[in-house]
Amino acid sequence: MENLQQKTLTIEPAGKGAWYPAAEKFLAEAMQADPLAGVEQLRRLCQNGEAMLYIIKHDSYMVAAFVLRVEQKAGGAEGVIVAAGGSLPGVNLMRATLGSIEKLFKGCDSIRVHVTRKGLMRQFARAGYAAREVVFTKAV
Amino acid sequence: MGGGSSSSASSNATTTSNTDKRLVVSDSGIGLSADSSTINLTMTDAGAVKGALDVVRGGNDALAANYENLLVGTGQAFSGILSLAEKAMAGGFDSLEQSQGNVAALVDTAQSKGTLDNRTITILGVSAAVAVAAFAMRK
Repeated sequence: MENLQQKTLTIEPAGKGAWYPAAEKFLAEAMQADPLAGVEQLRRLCQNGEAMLYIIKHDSYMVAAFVLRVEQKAGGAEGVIVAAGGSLPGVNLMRATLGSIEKLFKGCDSIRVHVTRKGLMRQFARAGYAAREVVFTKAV
Repeated sequence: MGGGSSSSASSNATTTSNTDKRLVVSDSGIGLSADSSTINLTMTDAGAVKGALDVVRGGNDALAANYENLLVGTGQAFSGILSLAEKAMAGGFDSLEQSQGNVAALVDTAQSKGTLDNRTITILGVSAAVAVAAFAMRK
């Protein structure tokens, strides 16, 4: 086919305790769904070493960012995709990168992600994720 | 990705490679990898595909009408064939011979009307492509 394009994405860790302000615009959109936390909380988590920031580059330009952390529980460790945001025209970034993101968790028994968008719910379901609970909230 | 917009599902080949094998966080082997990963995506030109689908979509009304006519025509032809075949079985070999001639004539008619030739398959294929496009757009 003549209309094939080749795109290369690179996932890079910011490093332990590191934070890139340039990543905030990607994460801010994702954090809009969380009424109790924002990008500032993500930054603190990363700088405290409780989570790690990763960025996704395309042709040396940052196109997305995500934050991961690991929760150690009695029954084992669970990786958490804390927040992720970004876009690249013509590419479903989640579909393209989720497999690589999952491999970043080492020694974990499961991976957890909190999703509010129905489209993403469908995509995670297709990727093998199942809902473990449903969160109800009420303004008081 | 959460919060971002991504609509295309055109990537059809993905390869990954990892470098810099360092583990961070814990001594127990549990934690987050500091690997850098490279993901190569091979995809079709979204603009070209969209343009092609627009052309298909633009002709969709006409295709739908043709498709419906073809289904009706094909159904009538098969009904005629089945009806004649039943009469032939009941009427014995003499009438069977005559009916076979009628069946052959019906098939010839159907072929000349384009109801049983490759165009039927082509149009069905185009209809399927439109359905796939509609599904992709809902994502």
